[in-house]
Amino acid sequence: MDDLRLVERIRQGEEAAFAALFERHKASVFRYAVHMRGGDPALAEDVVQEVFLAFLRQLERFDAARGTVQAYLLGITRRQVLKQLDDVRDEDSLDGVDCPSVDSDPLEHLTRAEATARVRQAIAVLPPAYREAIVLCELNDLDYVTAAAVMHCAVGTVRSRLHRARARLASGLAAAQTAEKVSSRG
Amino acid sequence: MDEQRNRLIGALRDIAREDAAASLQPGAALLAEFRAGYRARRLSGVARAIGLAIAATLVVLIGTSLWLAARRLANISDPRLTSTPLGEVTTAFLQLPYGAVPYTTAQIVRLDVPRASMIPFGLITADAAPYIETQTVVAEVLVGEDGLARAVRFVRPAQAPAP
Repeated sequence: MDDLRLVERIRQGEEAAFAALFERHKASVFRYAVHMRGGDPALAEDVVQEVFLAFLRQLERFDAARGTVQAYLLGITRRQVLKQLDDVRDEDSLDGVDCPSVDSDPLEHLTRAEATARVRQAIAVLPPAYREAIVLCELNDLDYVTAAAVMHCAVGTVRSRLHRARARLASGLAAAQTAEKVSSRG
Repeated sequence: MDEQRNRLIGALRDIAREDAAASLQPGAALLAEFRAGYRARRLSGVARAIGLAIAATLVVLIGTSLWLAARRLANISDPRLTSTPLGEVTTAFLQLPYGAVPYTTAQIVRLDVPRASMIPFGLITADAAPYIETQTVVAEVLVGEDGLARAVRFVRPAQAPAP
């Protein structure tokens, strides 16, 4: 069932439809919140609850002609995060989340886990505008037009921010690997 | 360079997968809000339907009364019928559904309308008085040259009690 039909059923009071919409979009909202609010998963989970609460309270304002449900939810998320940003301190530490293993080779698994940890760390120290572009386009797979609507900027701006963000992440990853090689030689 | 790019893409995919929040469920507060919100929306829908029904009734009543008044005016050509005599108390003119339609000339038509006509304007409440459906009050309707009613005001003798 598509999002619009779910919204219609939510308006009619169908709780299962709400549960389905929550299940479908919680990850997008969580990713945005966790990366834009300093990497704290507990905090991000609170944001998810608040975003869906706000969504229910302003359900009548949702207009399918103006964008997708996902973009609408991410717009709410963005406003929530911006509202709370003053209270947030950046945290550079990683949470040591285990990567789900898809390889049988432990070395490959370890290498990937390290790369993921480095990229996660690099995302956390990106300027917020670049981080937002990465979270929306790379982690949430939004197209440029939708991301631009969420970010309230031009499509070209999204492209350029994304390009610069990728470049920073790539160079950060390369620098970390170089440093690792040097230290292992020494 | 490609290898670097691939590693970056792979890492981003891993992060997206890790941040899927798979175990996250709607909290109790969220579900309570959903149930409360639905009840409120349903009540609001009922209230809107009642409001529309009252508005439609008013339009029909005023339209019918205007038609009857026009027939009376055709027979009685006393111009004083369109003016408010002294010694009466009136409300301000209250806009009707066609109130925003432009007009150049208008006349005031006086007629009796059911007291219930005052409910949509908040002048009385539905439970304010008995026999509200059968009692009438005097109203003056501002009618444009196109025959559309723009506004209405309610009239009572100065010494009479407020509705």
